[in-house]
Order: sequence, then C-alpha cells, then structure tokens
Amino acid sequence: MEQSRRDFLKFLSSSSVLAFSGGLFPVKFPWQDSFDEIVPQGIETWVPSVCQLCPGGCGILARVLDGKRLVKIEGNPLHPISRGTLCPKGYAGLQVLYSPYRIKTPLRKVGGKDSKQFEKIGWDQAIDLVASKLKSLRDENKTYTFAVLMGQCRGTTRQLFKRFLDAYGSPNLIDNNSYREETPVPGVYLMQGSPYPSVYDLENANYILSFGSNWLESFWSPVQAFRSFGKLNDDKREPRGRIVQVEPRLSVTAARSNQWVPINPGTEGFLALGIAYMLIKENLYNQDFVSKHTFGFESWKDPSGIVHSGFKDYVLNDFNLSQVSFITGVPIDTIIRLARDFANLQPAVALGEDNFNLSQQSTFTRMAIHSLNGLMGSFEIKGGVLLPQVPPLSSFPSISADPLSTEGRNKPRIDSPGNDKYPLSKDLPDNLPDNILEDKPYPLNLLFIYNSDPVFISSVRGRFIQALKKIPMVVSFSAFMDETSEYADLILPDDTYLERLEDDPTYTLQGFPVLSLRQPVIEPLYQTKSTPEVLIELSKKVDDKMSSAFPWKDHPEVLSFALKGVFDSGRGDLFGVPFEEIWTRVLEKRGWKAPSYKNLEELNKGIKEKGGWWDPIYKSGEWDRVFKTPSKKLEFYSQILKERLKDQNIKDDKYFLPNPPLPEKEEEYPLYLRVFVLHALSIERNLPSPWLKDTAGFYQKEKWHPWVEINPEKAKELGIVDKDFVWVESSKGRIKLKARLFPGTMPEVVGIPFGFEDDRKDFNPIKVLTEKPDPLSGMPNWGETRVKLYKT
Amino acid sequence: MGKIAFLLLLFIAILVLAYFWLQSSGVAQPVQFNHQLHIKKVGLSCEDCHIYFKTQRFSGIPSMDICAGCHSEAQGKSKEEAKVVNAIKEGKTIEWHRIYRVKRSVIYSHRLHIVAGKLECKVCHGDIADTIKPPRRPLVKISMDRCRDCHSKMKVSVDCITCHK
Repeated sequence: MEQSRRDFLKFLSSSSVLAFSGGLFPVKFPWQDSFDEIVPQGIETWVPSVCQLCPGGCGILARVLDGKRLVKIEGNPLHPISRGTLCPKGYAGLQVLYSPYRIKTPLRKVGGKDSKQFEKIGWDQAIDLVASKLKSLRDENKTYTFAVLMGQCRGTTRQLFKRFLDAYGSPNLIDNNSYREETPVPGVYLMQGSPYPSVYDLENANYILSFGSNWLESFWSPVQAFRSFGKLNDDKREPRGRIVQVEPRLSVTAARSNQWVPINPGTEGFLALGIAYMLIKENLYNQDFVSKHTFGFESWKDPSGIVHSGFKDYVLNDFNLSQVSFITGVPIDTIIRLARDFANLQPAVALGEDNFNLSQQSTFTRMAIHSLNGLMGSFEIKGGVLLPQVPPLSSFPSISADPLSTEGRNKPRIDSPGNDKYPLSKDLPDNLPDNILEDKPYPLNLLFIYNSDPVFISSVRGRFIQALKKIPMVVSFSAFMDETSEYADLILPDDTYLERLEDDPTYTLQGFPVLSLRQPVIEPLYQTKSTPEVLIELSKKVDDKMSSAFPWKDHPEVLSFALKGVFDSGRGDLFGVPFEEIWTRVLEKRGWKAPSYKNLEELNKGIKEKGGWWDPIYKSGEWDRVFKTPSKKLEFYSQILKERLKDQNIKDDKYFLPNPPLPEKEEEYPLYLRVFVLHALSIERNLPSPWLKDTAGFYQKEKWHPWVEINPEKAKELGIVDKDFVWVESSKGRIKLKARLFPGTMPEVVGIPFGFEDDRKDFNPIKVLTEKPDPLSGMPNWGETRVKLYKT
Repeated sequence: MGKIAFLLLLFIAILVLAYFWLQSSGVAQPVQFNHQLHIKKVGLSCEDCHIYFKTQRFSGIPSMDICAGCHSEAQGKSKEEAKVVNAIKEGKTIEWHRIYRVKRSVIYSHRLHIVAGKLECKVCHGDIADTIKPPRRPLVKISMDRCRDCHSKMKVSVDCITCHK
C-alpha cells in the first residue's frame, strides 16, 4: 500500500488529536491501581513488641492500621538493644506474617508416614489427639518415651516446656541449639566454667581481634554489632577502635576491618597461641591479672608431688613464631605486630564467637583464642569480656511429688548427652536420629518439635527423616510448612511472633539484663494458637496431677506471675530515653531504688506501653559469678576437662591446655569448605521472605540461589570459568552450584553461603557437610569438611 | 475564503477544547462546601472536622457523623446544604475527593509537621479557610523544591530517606 504525504499528515494530525483528547478524558486502565489501594489508609497505632527472627531480641514498633493490618515494622527508640534501628531482617517481618506458606489450621497427616498429604482438623480434635496419646503413654508407664526438640526459645515459654516435661515425667528436653549464637561455647566454658555465654563489650573496646567471627554480618545480635561498629569508627572517638579479622575468606567483616589477615583454614588456634607466645616472651601480658585471677599459667606441683606443665612453658616450648608462621601461613612480622597492638591498645578483646563459625572451630581452638583475653586481663572491664546478668523473673513453684513422673524423669536421655564420647555436651540433637532408629536406650513414641527445623539445618538430615518416619507420633508447632513439618503427623500451628504474647529476656553487650515483652500487634490472622497456651490446655487434659502443676488459667497469667519477681527485686526501670537511663544508674550506684512504677499493675502497664524493663547497671568484679571453675579463677589448664575425663586417665598435661588440632590433608578432597552465613538469611530456620532473598549476596551480585566462591587461580587450574555450574563433592554427597570467581577466597578454600531454602533442589550445603562432630562437645564441626570441585 | 473559515473553525475548536481541558482538570467535589462560612462565621476550627491531623499521618476527610453533628436538620436555605441534609437522612455517604496528594514515594505525616514542626495548616493548604467553594486543585503547589526549601529553612534533614522510604 502506497502512502502519500497527505495521508501521513492526516495520520499525524488525527493521532495528535487522539492523544490530546486522551488527556481530556483520562481513562483508568484496569492494571492501574489507584493511590489509595496501594497505600492503605486507616487509623494508625504503634505497638511495641520484640523481633524474633534471630536471638538478638530487638525492640520493634509495629505500625498497625485500624488495629488489623500491619504495614510497617520499625525499631523501638526506647529499647536498649535496638535504640530505634533494626536490621533488614527486622523490617522483613511483614513478609513473615503475611507469608503464603503459613499454616492456617491444625493439620493431620493422611495416607501414612510416607505421604505428604494433610487434612484440616479443628483445634479441639487436634488437642484431644495429642492429649490421648500423652494419656496412653502415661497409663503404660512410658512417660520417658516423649521428647521435645526445641529451637530458639526463652523466658517463660522455655520454662513451661521444661515444666511440662518434668510434670509429665520425661528427661527429654533436647535443645537443637548447636546452631544458636547464644549457646555457651565449650572452649570458653572450659576456661570460665560458667554455663551461660559471655558477651564482648565491642563498642568500648579499642582493639578487636576476631578469629573468623563474622560479627559484622551474622552476629547473634546484629543491630548491637552494627551500632558498635559505628561507635568504634566515630571520628570523635579517641582513639578510634581498631578491628582485625583473621579469616581464610574476605567476608563482609574482613572487608570492613582495618586489617584482614588471611590464614590457612583451621589454624586460627595456632595463630592465637603464636600471639600468646609473643605476649609472654616480651612480657606484654597483664601480670597482675594473671597472678590474681588465673590458674595454670605457671607450672606447678600438685599435692602428690607431680609437676604439671603450665600454659607459659607450654606456649614457649611449642609455639615459636617460625613454627606458627609455617602452620598458619601468616608472616612472622604480622604476628609480632598483632601481639604488640593487642597488648598496647587496651582494652582489647579476642573474639571467636559467631554463629556458624561456632561449628567451624574446635573446642581447643576456641580455648586458645580465649586465652588471649586471659593474658591481657580483659575480663570484667569496660570494653572486655563480661558475663551478663539475667532479668529476675520469679521461678515457678515446685511440682508436687508424683512417683510416676519422678521415675520417668530419672531415665537416661534419648540423645545421651555428656556421654564418654562427648563429655562436654549438654544436648546432642545430631545423636537423636541414630538413637531413635536403634531404639537406644528405648524407643521414642512421641516427639514435639518447637521452633526448630532439623531437616533443613542438621548435617544428619537423611537419618533425621528416617527417624521422623519411625516415631509413632510427631507433633510440629511450626507456623510455616517447613522441611521438618512435612514429616510430622500432626501440626498445631503456632502464632507468628507478631501475633503472640510472650516475654523475651536477653541482655545487651554491656551485660545489662533486658526483659522485653512480645505482644500481639494484631489478632492472629488464621486459626493458630500460641504454643504456651496449647501446653497449658494439654496439661489440663492429661490428668489431675499434670493439671495441678499448671495452676494458671492462660499464658498472660503466667507472665504476670513471672513479672512479680522483677517487681520484688526493686531493680532497674522501664525502658526510657538515655537521660532516664543515666538517672537510674546514678541512683542505683548510690544505693537508691526509684523505679517509675509503684506497684505490679503499673509495672505491667508500663511494660506494655514502653516495650519492657531493664537494669542499666553492671556490677564488675563479681569473680565468683564469672569464674565457676574449681579454682574460682580463669583456667588456662582446664580442671573441668580433667574432671570429666578422669576415667580415661590421661597423663599428658597438654590435653588440658589449649591444644588445637592440626588440620589433616586429604588427597581425594583437597579443598576446604567454608560455610558462611549471610546476614539476610536466618540461620536456624528458613525465612519465607522474598525481600531478604533478594538482598542476599550483595557483594557477589547473586541472590535467590546459593553459589560457590572459588579463587580465580584455582578456578583456572580446574578449568572453571565464572558462572559455570559445578559439582561440589565431599565424601558424604554432592551439590550443584553456580561457581563465582572471588579473589578474596584463598586458593585451597571454597565458600558456600548457608540458609537458602531447600526447595527440593540440590543446593543445601548440608548435603556435603561432614557429620563428624567436635570430639569433646559433640557439636557439628563443619570446618573439617573437605571437598573437590568439577564441572557439570 | 475557505481557508480563513477553516482557520477560524480550528481556532474556535482549540478554544473549546482548552475550556474543556481547564474545566475537566482538577477535582470537582459533590458538594460546594464553604470553608469561609464554617470557619469565619460559625467559628469552627480545622480540627473540629479534620480530626486526625494531630495524631495521624493524614488529616482525615470528615465522616458523615461529623456533618450530622450540625446538619441532621437544615441550618439554612442553601441548596448545597440540602444535599448534605438529604444524604444524612438517606444514610448515604458523600464521596469527597482528595485534591492534595504527594508522590507515592513520599511518606508525609501531618502529625510530625503540625505537632513536632508546629506548622500552620496554611503553609501547605494556602488560604483554604477563605474559600467559599472547594478549589478544583491545590491552592499551593506542593513540589519537592518547596519541601526542601522549608526543610532547609527550618533546619530539618534534607536527606532522601527523611521523606522517601
């Protein structure tokens, strides 16, 4: 068809008229939302509560419209942990609440153990099912065959679980906490003897020497870590804090530190002892502290006349710098410089704690790192290692004697912690599947799973699945359809943390006890029920004796009871602005007590309005509380370990001193695997949040799916190019991942991020991580994993 | 001749279109509400009808209950008032239209500006109190420059994140 000039002009003019009239009579296309639909309107209220997406315990303010729609989560400015800020996880709580993966009603499995089909049932029926099972086990005198596997859980909820098991008659409260940041580290426990974890006053330290602790990315309390980093780098601070990161991979923390010291994987303990060698050799250590508050530094003669080698002789004999430098790959002058800085820039802390690195370092490595704090006396001082105090909640009344439950409680635990093989273990969740499968020491009939997702997180996941299939009844309290819940027989869905009433005791990095109140910001969206309420309800249905152990009507009544302890203590005050904090401190230091509430009702009301209670004071120098070892001192030579291993009759003193194992070479699998945790991904559970998955690998420009980091030279050697898909294979199994070349990874190391959802694909690093635990604590020691890489 | 007539017609057409354009742009309210009468003569304050601006982000378009406080019975002879009285009697809602909007990317809070910033309504809403019928478009053009100028003058942060979230 030919077109004349006139046609063209006609077309032009008509189209311009059309365009103009389009402006005259605006048309709303169906895909255009109106403004009001996108931004919901309503009367807003701000409800203070507490985040629960990691153990940090940040105070949040939830913006709720018309009392029913949550639209924003922000930090609570009065809360001493978050002080008005939050990490990205906190903001993403919205997507947790409104997640499509939420379980909306109680569910019962249909079609046998291998099926993944569930049917909806009512709450009354669901509770009756569990209660009748509990009853029948009690009638058969098999109360001990009931166990609870528990993840992150604090305060009265934890106490209620413990009480439920005690009253019922089972010893099996199993903490699946090998992965939790707040677990007391076995190495630190051996030296300090305290069953509670220590904290490091990061913002007041002048020198932070971190051994593989990725504290600026995946700390147990990220907001406190980020704020400390800000304060350390404040240009008004004199002197500015210095941060050194010792790690085989350039992590986010290493990238933000003043110095990154690449080290051969698994040899961090040797470097720590090399630094100790320099501190002792040059007399730089705190001699006053070492002589007053430590045990086992100098060699000594015991009452039977045997001479024991002390830490000093041990380090001077075995860890000269050239040897340490050879093992660690760190130049001698760097070690000298680190030691001198560590001694001169006081207060200084040596940090080994993190979340997953917990499982990448052996107990002795951690002991070696902690011994540096001991040498410099960085205990009970501002900017040092502190042992936090806990909020004074009232303890529950004792349970009336019941021969049936006493007998059950005294049975051995199903996961057999503290056994000869792992003498330092308190819980052995990874031992659970084997014991269940072998009926050792007895068959398990009923398992409750609360806030834990072992099929996602445990390195023995395959056997966990088999075990779950074997147990006659598995009850999950998960709010989401996660990997473990699929294998449950019954799901009693919990409220999310935004719909639940709960207390949340925690502490700041300065050791102040903090009691926050997690209160429902909206009514539960679905037919879910808070698990503490379910426990109270169940106790009333089992029998009278159980019922008498739970004299409370509901969980709020339990909370009021627990809060009485806080009121009676007369300590601390409600959260307030910094001025009020200083005022409380001034008064308390002078022996005055003037909390802003006068009675229990006012305390209850104040906690609801402000978000919680705290006591901004730390009493330094309570050495008996801090060092609970036999010598009441910090022990370089662990008498706790000696006591635990007395049956083995070990004569060599080195075994009780920090003696980190030398990493073994493996021919078939030459590469070391380092699993790191991205801040955006929670560690214990699989968070259903697209926002977080979308921000996961910021530096690598990778998101949604995990990847494997390889040194470019190593990749060249293996014939791998950037973004190739490769198999990562260990002796246990293999996973397929996208290779990313990353010069910040040492040539013999590969790194994989942890925490991406499994999605039934082949990329959960759990599938290749070693099952071999740390020999003393029984905790998974993933740092031992060796792999090889090849192209798909 | 034909050419002149064509140009004249075109000119008239443009005028007509321009008139319609001016008329149709802006927002027509269902009732010609007289702010001046309510404020200057009756003596109401802004907060009597826009009840939320001290506590919420929005100031709130008055609900029918607020109108019914006075207009459940006719107070005068105005046709516009009769619309309101009828609507109240029939239980209908008058659909007032918003004319002030900020971009979607901006989070604006009346509470912050009025309570913390101590601004008067007219800083942004102009002489709305003197109008005898609802304006078709905002009396004051709200632009980012205007926000920034005022923020700088009042020594309030002009960081992007202050308003854009």
